[in-house]
Amino acid sequence: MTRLDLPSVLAVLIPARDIRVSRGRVELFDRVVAGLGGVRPASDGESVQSVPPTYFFSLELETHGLDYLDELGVPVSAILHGEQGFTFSAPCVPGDVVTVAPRLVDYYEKRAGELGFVVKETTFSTGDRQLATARSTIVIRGAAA
Amino acid sequence: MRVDDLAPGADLPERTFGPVTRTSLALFAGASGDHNAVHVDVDAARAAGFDDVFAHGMLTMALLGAYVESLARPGTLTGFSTRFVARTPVGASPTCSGRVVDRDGRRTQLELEVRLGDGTVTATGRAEISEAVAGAVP
Repeated sequence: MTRLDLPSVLAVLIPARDIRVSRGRVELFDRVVAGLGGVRPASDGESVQSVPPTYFFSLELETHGLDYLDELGVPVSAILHGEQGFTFSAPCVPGDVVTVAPRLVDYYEKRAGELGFVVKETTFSTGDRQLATARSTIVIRGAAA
Repeated sequence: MRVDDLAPGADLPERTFGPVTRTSLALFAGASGDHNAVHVDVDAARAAGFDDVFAHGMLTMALLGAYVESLARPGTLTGFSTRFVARTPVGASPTCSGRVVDRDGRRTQLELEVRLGDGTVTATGRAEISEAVAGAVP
């Protein structure tokens, strides 16, 4: 694995991409989570239920996959999900065309480089309306190996 | 019961989900788009140094999200974050719990936790419920 450092991580530029939110995918997501007991409450008077809060992570996987790991030279098998945060400012519903704009914002190591941490921030918007932001911390095992 | 009925310091009602099966991991991989093989393929999990497949962090967070949504009015969740601190093995039944930590006007902060039957905490988190923002959303 290439030894990462902050400048090399910040140098990775990720293009924004658009995706239309698929009703079928959202329903499948809801069905799988509901199958484990996570039934979402019906919306109050909204004709269309907004996407589940963590679905924005899936939208980004659909638009960008884990391409940034390839750019960093990190194999998928080396990563763990450390932290994930979202802020929500407007509802997102199936049919919305969402612009997904990720960027890598930080890199640090712990345990003498045994663990590396890549921090990524993403904005989700439709037209000029921001829907949500996400902040992911991905842990790379054996970063300095 | 809803978050707005609870005073700061009050505990949220606990809920247990699952059990997490291999089938649910396979279905979640497809539904969520998280295709990391360590969650669905025992050979890949072993090659990566794990004994077995384990749940996606985002499956834990999806369950925690459904838990929080069940306690709030639709469209009022304005912030939600999780720190994944331990893996969730196949067969586990995660329990979500939480507490109202603060209320500032119409904004309520929750502290959240997910733990397994043996007491292992798998995730800690926070959520923000904002009644005022929901009204402002077009």
